[in-house]
Amino acid sequence: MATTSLLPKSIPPIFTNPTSISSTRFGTLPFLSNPADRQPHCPVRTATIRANAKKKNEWLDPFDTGEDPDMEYGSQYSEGKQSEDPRPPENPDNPYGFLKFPPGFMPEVMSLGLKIRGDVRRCCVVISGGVYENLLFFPTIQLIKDRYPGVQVDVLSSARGKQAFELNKNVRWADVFDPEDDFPEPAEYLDLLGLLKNRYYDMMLSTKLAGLGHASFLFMSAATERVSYIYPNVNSAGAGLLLSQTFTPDHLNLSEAGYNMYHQMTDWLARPGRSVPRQIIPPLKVSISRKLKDVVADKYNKIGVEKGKYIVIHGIQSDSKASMQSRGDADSLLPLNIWAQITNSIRGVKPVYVIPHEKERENVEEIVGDDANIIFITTPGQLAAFINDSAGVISTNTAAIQLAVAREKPCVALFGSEEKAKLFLPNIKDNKCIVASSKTGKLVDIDTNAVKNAAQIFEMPLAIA
Amino acid sequence: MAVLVEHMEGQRDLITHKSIWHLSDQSIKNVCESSLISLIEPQHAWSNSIHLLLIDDVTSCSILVADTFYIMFTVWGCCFFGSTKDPYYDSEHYRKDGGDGTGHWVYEKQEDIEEKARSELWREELIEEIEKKVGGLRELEEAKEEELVK
Repeated sequence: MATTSLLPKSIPPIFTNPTSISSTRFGTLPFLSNPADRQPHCPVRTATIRANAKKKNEWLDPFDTGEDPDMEYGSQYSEGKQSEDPRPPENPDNPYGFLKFPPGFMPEVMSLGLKIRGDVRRCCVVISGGVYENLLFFPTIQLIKDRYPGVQVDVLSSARGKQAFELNKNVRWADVFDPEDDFPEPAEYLDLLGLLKNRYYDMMLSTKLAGLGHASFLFMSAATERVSYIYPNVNSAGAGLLLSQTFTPDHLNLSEAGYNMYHQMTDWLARPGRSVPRQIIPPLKVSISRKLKDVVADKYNKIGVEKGKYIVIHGIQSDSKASMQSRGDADSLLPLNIWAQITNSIRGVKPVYVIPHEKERENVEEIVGDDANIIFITTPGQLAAFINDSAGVISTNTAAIQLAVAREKPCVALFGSEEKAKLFLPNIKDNKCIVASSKTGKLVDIDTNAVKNAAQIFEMPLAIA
Repeated sequence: MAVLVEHMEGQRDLITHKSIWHLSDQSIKNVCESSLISLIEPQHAWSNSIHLLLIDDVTSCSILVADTFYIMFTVWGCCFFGSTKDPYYDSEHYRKDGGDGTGHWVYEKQEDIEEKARSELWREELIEEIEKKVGGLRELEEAKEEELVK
């Protein structure tokens, strides 16, 4: 590309404050317009993004001419990762009593790491979407933890999405703030802004597609680094001015990209720094507290099933908000009569229907039979604990499938199409998880016999035992 | 003597009656002695009584003020010194560092409870990991010992 030679000299990634305003301003010019724009399902978009991201936004700092080529850095505060605990060891022998710094320690230069190395001590993450989207953000939080040791990660999420953070040990505070709400209550909005300013964040990450409004929210939080997705269309106009790093997603709906829906953000977070190699993006892991396990054990003991001797049925057709679907896959719930066909043939283990709302109970009893095992679970935490104690999971594309994979439980995943399955379960290697997808592209037309055959994996170990 | 009528639109008329009293010297003296409201001669008589009045007023005023302060001080004292011995105000619950700029100072907040639960979870995981590692090490050692025995 001829354009790259016109760009300023490439600068190390910590200092890049590149932007996307360029892509919005010059979006019509042929040489900058991205070919991936016309191929929405093209997976290799990242390379082009990186090339664009090298461009500096001259609006952010007109006097920033890039890094000084003659500048020499020592090794301290400039290389490697930040130290986990920057607090010096206390020195009780100090004659001054209150001064607990060891000799030779200079608090004046402690903050240099923030400037030179790009330390992040406090990080806030704004996640848009429901339980599924929040669950898929867990690897990114782990990545932030790995890249910036000792960082405190806080979360702002919708009321539903916040519940997922019962399963995450890496988060400090999770507050409810729905970034999708176009007209937030002014008092609450200002209250939250004050709260965020008071916490002095080093980095704000946002997965909401930002326009000017959301960008100014991030800007007003006074975080040093404000990183966000922006609209891939004209709505992003002006957002780049208020943000220090922007990502243009492939679609208007991030969730359509499946498991790797945040790949641009994780790519950027995992970028190599000064003598820091590129980070490896960790797999999705959830942790379940003992308290939660006990609560759920009580719950399933009441309906008369035992640990390890039942399978979880999740993904019943319902208009409940607790169905835990992905926003990128609207067709991911099966009507009960098909579920009944699937579960009728299962022997050896008890299928337990997870209902997202009490009103579904009588439907299940009517269609599946009065002796059906039903458990009422709405929160991802309880669902995870329930899956953890089960023999396996049969589920459509809901959060249950991701939880089963994260806890390494055998599962049968029902998808509307092969492509969807590949998007949402990209790294299935062993045969613990079997994907059954519909041939027609509609989940309702799924071949129940194939699912029944797949479901035999739950019976095998019992047959041996 | 005279009647003034002020007429205003939409209101009742304001009627003022004015009258003048003509008093003899004797009756003026009687009035001064009894009531104290007098604005005419003789000078010595009324100034004396005004003097008396002033003293009386100041004393009663100062007594009133003193009373008020006494009551206020007593009430404040009861509140202040009463609260100094309250175990609640001395407790960690009330005196601990707190506040996040939203006016939530004393109360246990949902977020804090959740945060505690999460850090508990983190500790649990850590212990599990350590146990796993220790278990692995033990297995290794046992294997080594077995090899040595062989």
